[in-house]
Amino acid sequence: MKTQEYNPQDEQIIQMLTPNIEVKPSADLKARILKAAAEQNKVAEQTAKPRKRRLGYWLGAATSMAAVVAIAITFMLNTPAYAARRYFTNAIIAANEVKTMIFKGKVRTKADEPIDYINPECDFVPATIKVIYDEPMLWSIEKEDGRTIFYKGADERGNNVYQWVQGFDSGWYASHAGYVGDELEVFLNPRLLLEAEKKAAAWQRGSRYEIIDNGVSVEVKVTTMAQGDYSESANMLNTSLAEANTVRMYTFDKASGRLTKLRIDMVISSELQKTVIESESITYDEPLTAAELVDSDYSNISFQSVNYQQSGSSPLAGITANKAAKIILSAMSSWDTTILDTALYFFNGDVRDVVKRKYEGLQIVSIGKPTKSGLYPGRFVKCKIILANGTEETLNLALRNDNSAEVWLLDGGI
Amino acid sequence: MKLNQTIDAEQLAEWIDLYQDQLFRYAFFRIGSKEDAEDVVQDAFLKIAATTAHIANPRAYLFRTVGNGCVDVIRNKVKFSPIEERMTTPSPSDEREEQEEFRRIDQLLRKLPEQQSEVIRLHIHANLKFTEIADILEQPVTTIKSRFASGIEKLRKQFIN
Repeated sequence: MKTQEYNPQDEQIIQMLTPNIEVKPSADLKARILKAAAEQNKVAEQTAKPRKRRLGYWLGAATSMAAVVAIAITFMLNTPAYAARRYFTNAIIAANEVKTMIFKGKVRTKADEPIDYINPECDFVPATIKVIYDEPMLWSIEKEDGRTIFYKGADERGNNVYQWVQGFDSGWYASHAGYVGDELEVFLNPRLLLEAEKKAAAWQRGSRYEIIDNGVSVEVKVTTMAQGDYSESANMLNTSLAEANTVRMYTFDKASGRLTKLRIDMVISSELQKTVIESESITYDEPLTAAELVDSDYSNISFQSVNYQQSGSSPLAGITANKAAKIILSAMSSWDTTILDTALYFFNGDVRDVVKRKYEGLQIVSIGKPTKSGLYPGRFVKCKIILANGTEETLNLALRNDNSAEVWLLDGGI
Repeated sequence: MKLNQTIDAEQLAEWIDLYQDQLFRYAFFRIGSKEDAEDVVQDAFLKIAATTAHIANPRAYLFRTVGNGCVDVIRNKVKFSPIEERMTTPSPSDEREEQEEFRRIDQLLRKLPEQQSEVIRLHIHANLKFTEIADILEQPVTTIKSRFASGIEKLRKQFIN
């Protein structure tokens, strides 16, 4: 209460605005802040060190594991977000000591769609992630009977990530530096995943936390909101983890601090929540070599760069997305390879043959307005066509022109 | 224990002793949740502990950071209300009284422009002098006093006259 005197008329209002009860923070808030600050400092020091020193962490495992165990046992869970941060911090420390990880689980996706494509309407597809935490980190993600993506370090083409879909003879490669962005690397590397969650827990940007202590393990349940702009179109909503409202359930082993289970649900509506990723096993430090990262045989796959390079001018540059859609569909109708060799840059080998068989001779009925959705860098264009066999079909073409020549390329939707 | 180049644990502990309760009261009467208020206050102290910049006025820095944190919490609560509602669990009985008190005061302050209610909160709930509020909001003391007086007058006209 202020000792300052107010005029009598104001005094009555000030009394109304003054709390009638004493509101105080928890008695241990100071201790929690100091402990969190010390830990923040420790983590900052660790993350600031160059990754080449990672081996040093492994060698120091015994000491830091003892610290992790001590911290885990003495947790005081006062607020869920605070407690979540503590668990994530511990798990990050534990993740520093891991040499290899093999994640086996199931994902609601289409086996041949990109690795980050997730759709709650799809059935589960078994997936395996293998990671060797070395410098550089080597990894693979395989969807059973579908798409495989891997990075085994630099080779004769440079430092690239490779991917292909089983059953086809062509694949793609992309620069490792440009390709492994936030989401994929976060998904591969539990440490980054946990750091992202810890950051979210610190700032609570739309995230909610629940902690369930099961004695030997602890479950941290995080509710997060979709990133991106869906004001023009909800096309990309619920198509990837970043672009969905999700509930993520992490299970940590209390003794080691390691992540032992992971489950991610998409919140479709206030009544409907669907599991889209669920681990079956997460094993650490199994012997694993770069040669063992990929189970499928890819010796006969012809890989080409995804980095489109335009030589000369293109009729697909400097135009709107729906104009590009019209040119591409017209070219597909007459199978004009002068246009399609550019437009179907991502569709090669026998994939392109499949496209030709289906779409040659098509008639355009209508072409809609281009829309942007979520985090996708390109545009979506809804088109109605009639196939050569007389079947009417609605396509939602995904077109992108985020290449140096700003040429529109077909990225999906057929 | 060295936290960074300029702020060590002792310094941080001193600031916590000095400002924690004021910051908490200020945050609680802005957002109405003890849990969120503690998180926002903790984040402010963690932020000041992590900064390598020279902090000339730690109290002003902390209050500004807590103020921004409260805005984020309020914005997220509004933006994500369907999920929030699903995740909300009933408050324990000892918190109910505090939340009722928050609602009572919040209903009054909602009738005022944000600039006026902010000064009233800082003065009455955080127990800050007008000169201290002027430092935090980076406004002349006369402006702060004027906002306080205008806010009180508006409420007086509505509830007393």
